[in-house]
Amino acid sequence: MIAQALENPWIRQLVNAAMLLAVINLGVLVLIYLERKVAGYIQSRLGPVHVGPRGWLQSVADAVKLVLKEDIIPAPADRFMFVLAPFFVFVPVLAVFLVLPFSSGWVAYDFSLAALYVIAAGTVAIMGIVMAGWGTNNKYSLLGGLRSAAQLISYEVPVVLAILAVVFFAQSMSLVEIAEAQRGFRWFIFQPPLLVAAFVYMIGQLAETNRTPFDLPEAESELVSGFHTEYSGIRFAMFFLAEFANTFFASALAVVLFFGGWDGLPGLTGALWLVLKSYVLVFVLMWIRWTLPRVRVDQLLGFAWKVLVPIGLIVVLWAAASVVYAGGVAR
Amino acid sequence: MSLEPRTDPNPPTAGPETPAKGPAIDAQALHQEILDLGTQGMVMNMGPQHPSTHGVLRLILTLDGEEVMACEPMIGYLHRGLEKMAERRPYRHFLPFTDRLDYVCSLANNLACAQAIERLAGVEVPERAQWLRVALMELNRIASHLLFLGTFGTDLGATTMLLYAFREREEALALLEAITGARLTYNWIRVGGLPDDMPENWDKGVLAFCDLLESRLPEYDRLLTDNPIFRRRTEGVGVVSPEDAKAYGLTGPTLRASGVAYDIRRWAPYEKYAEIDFDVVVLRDGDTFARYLARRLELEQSVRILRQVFDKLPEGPIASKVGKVLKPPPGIAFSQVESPRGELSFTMVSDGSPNPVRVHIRAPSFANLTVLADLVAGNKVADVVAILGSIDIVLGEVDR
Amino acid sequence: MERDFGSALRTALAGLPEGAVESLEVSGSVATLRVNLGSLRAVLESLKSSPEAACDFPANLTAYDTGEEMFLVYRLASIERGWQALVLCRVDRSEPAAPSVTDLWPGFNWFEREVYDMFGVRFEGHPDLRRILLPDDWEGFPFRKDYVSRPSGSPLRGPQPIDRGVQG
Repeated sequence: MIAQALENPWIRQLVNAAMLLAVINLGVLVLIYLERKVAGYIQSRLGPVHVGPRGWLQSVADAVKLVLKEDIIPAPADRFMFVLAPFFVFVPVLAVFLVLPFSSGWVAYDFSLAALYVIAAGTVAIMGIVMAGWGTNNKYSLLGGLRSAAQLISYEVPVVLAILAVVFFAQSMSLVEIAEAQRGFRWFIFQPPLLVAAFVYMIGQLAETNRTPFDLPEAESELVSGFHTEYSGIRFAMFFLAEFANTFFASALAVVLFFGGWDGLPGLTGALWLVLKSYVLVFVLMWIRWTLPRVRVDQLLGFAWKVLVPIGLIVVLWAAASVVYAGGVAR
Repeated sequence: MSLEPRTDPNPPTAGPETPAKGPAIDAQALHQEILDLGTQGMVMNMGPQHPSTHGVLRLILTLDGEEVMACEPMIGYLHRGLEKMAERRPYRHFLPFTDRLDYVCSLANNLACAQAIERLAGVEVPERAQWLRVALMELNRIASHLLFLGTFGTDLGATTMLLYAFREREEALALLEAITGARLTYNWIRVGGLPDDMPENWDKGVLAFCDLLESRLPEYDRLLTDNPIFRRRTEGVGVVSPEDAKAYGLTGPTLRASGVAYDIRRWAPYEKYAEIDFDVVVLRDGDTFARYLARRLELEQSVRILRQVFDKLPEGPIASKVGKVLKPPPGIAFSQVESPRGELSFTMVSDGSPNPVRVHIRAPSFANLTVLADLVAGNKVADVVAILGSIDIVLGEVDR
Repeated sequence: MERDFGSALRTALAGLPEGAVESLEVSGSVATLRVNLGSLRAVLESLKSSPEAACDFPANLTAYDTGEEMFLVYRLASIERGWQALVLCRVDRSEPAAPSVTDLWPGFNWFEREVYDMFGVRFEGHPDLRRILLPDDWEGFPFRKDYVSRPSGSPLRGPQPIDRGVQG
């Protein structure tokens, strides 16, 4: 009967979505634990140790605490915006996971414009952050929201350029096909133009996921916590969840775009390879976060427009040239 | 705008010659033009509760977007009337209170207070006590500068520096705890000497700590000093010229970063500093990075001083006999101590009675903070945090 | 150094009117000058600008009140020469006022505000003479010896006065 029900495309999509949601939430819990442990070891301390064996359950405890906490809405806040903002941040992150292929058949929804969709859907989150900044009616949050808008829009450009270069090579916008094109260790990272593109992409994603050295929207030493200063309880949890889900997604997308997707040595399932490679990239992001100081807002924007965008443009031209003249296409 | 020839009733007088450099657009004129439109800056309260104001400092910032147009520091949130308290008790009873001034380096406060009383009452301090005081001072300076390195890193978003610095600071605090029994409010300097000698093998512990710290300093440099992002955040930001630095009465590393060699340890040596070989760290640039670097380099000098102390430490008493009731002759006396933040000076006035007529504390943070408002105007919000961090204030002594 | 500093000071103060400096003692690298209020600013200015004394560093400014007399205490240092001058100046206790020197040393801005805050000395010409450490609505000047110690200002600012029957 279950098999019969799954024949129905609606039910199948619902099941897919539910599974995805579970995977994301679980993944984020693991990620938070990892972040704390990695930060702990980088900073020569232990990280969580008390809740569960080796602190394994710390994230669960935190999640329970956040859910149970009182949900405070500041009196001068713009209630409508304030309440709505976390959803605007959270939902796009879920939406982009829809098209992320974990393995050849393991994708919730595969369509031919997935690469474009990822960019478009991801950008909606900026709205949520600006709404949070404005709706809180707090000057620190407002500054954080504005910084965030400027930053995300600026860094979207190099990221798009980097993805565009990949699309040239794969001759497709479907993430599944992009990954398929790299099977058998013909990863795009080994193509010189795309190696540069990968760097541009990772730096851009570092900024888009608001992580040090680009964590200006929530720079705790300047803006207290930026746009989510006044959020508490479940609403804060949504921002938190979105941030970590976004970090994971950025890494997973990088794996799909540059590191061969689920391609790996035989013995493990493809999906496991993808997750494993993503976690390696996430680790790199964490490593960067706990090592570098934060840049200033003018340096941040200057770097995007004066360094990354020109490099991105050159990479696009280079990629186009190698596809057309050098036969760089993999298939 | 009319096309008629301009007849200005007040022809503009020739202003001071400005060197032709920078962008073609006169930023200041543009700024004034924007202001003339009636645009208001956004007034933002930074503090008294804010993670980067290092205590309860309140800055009223007027912002134009991310840029700071004006800054007004408000202090007094931690005012406890310590100087008034001093007037109401015998001289020596004030010593424990001084721990609460600059709580990051309370031994310097103890020393400055004790020294003022010693000078007023003409009390001699035995040799061994003087050497030990130097050791305590430098150990406490290391602890204080390490705290600065950590918090300054955090101010700029490099949170790991805090943990690294605290790892070593912990060792310094353990050593201080071994001798004083406290980790923060030591209260270990008495009029005429010290309350007790150092514990056995304490000197070995200090020397081991010196080696440890020296081995860790390159680590700090790799993490922070040589980091290009850190450099770009701090170099050329909040520059103080030597003339300004003097006119504002800055002291300590904040002044020496601007190229003025004024270190009380060398300028008016107290205790045994005259017999110790060390360099006064003087830098030229006067920017935020120089202020950071001055403190970072002073760590090395402190290690150097500590090593010499235990070479030269003589045997002998650690306190001279001072009567139970201290009645200094009428007069005025002041002490000068180079605390990690600058010149700490107690001015005491006596009328011959057991209680002082007046105790004034010249807190280095108080004087150094005066320059902040002028430094941050025209910079970004993020620079406010960087500049404030580089001045390294402790609100306990600003507010007193 | 003692003799150098003494003669440097005498040269620096030579142009001032008779009686401007009431007394001048030099001991070690510290000179103590007692100055007439009328010529206070002139003395400080010549200490700063004279190339001989070169006391251009504003080390400290405070005041003290003995109950009968109130004094301002300036300390100016010469970083290059390694000496410093302690300038004491009596002010009128009933209506204390003195010329401001913030235009000479911006660093004395807050110090003057503090002296005003604690002693009520009006510094004429100060750009922004307000209380600095105490709340704006504080009554009285606590470091004057005739000040009766009782918390004042808004009751919300701090603990209520407790009468322990002890004279402050």
